[in-house]
Amino acid sequence: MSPVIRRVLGWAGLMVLLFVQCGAGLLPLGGFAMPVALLLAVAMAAVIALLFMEMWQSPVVARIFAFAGLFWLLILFALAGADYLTRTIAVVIG
Amino acid sequence: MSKPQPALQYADHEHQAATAVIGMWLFLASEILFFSGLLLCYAVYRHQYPAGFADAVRRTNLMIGTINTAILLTSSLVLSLGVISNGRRLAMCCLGTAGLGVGFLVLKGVEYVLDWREHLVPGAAFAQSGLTEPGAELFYLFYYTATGLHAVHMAVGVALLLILAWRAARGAFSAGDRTAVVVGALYWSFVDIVWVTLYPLIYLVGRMT
Repeated sequence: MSPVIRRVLGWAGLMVLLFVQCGAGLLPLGGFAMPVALLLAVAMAAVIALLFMEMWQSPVVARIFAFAGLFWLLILFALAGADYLTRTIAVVIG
Repeated sequence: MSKPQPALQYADHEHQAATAVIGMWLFLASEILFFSGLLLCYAVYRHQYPAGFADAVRRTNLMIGTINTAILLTSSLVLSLGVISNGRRLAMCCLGTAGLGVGFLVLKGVEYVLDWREHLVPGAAFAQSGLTEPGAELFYLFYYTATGLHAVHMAVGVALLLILAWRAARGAFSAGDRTAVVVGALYWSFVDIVWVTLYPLIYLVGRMT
């Protein structure tokens, strides 16, 4: 497949994902709304990184930096989440 | 025209080009941290004020947000087609991408004006917006900070693209060294990824609760 066709197909895939994401946002999904929206956003980001940014064809060190960035993001959310999601609200009476 | 020599510290042109690409990825990794602080604030306050955030999301302009997302995704396609072309076609792709970027910023400006008219700006007048749930005003603080920072990144990207278009039209990348184009495209696509992450958080999640 030629690079041009591959990119155009990737863009068409992104448009479909955007359409699905927008449609899902208009459905009453309750607690599933955030995971569904984020999953679709991650899929779109992956298409952009792999196809448009050619991440897999980049030097190895560049790929390590990309994953390091995501790992830092994970650390930030994991440690902050560990606090906020397990915090006990103590009610003071009196 | 003879090919310019690589800078002193590099073994050859390939070494210099790979270093530039690696440097851009390192910068983008630092940008992930820059935006992730903002996303963490969003997550914490959304967890704390779910009703206020849901009310606020319902008042954002879904139409403009979705059109802008489509514009940005298309701009990334156009630029990625430019990266694999040369000369005049590359210059046209850079100009086209910059044009789409300007279109995005203009639409964003229109959206800000509409928000202003609906009093959706944190401050004394926010009470007139009709959003009374706690957290709604905080959402709009996040909204303006996140979209404002993203717009600044877009403006920088448009300036870079115009410089690349000018250089490409003058045949600067015909000799084989296309590093500046590759690095510029990496930056632009990253800005695209940031928006793809912000879009559901601002316009979608909570709209139908």
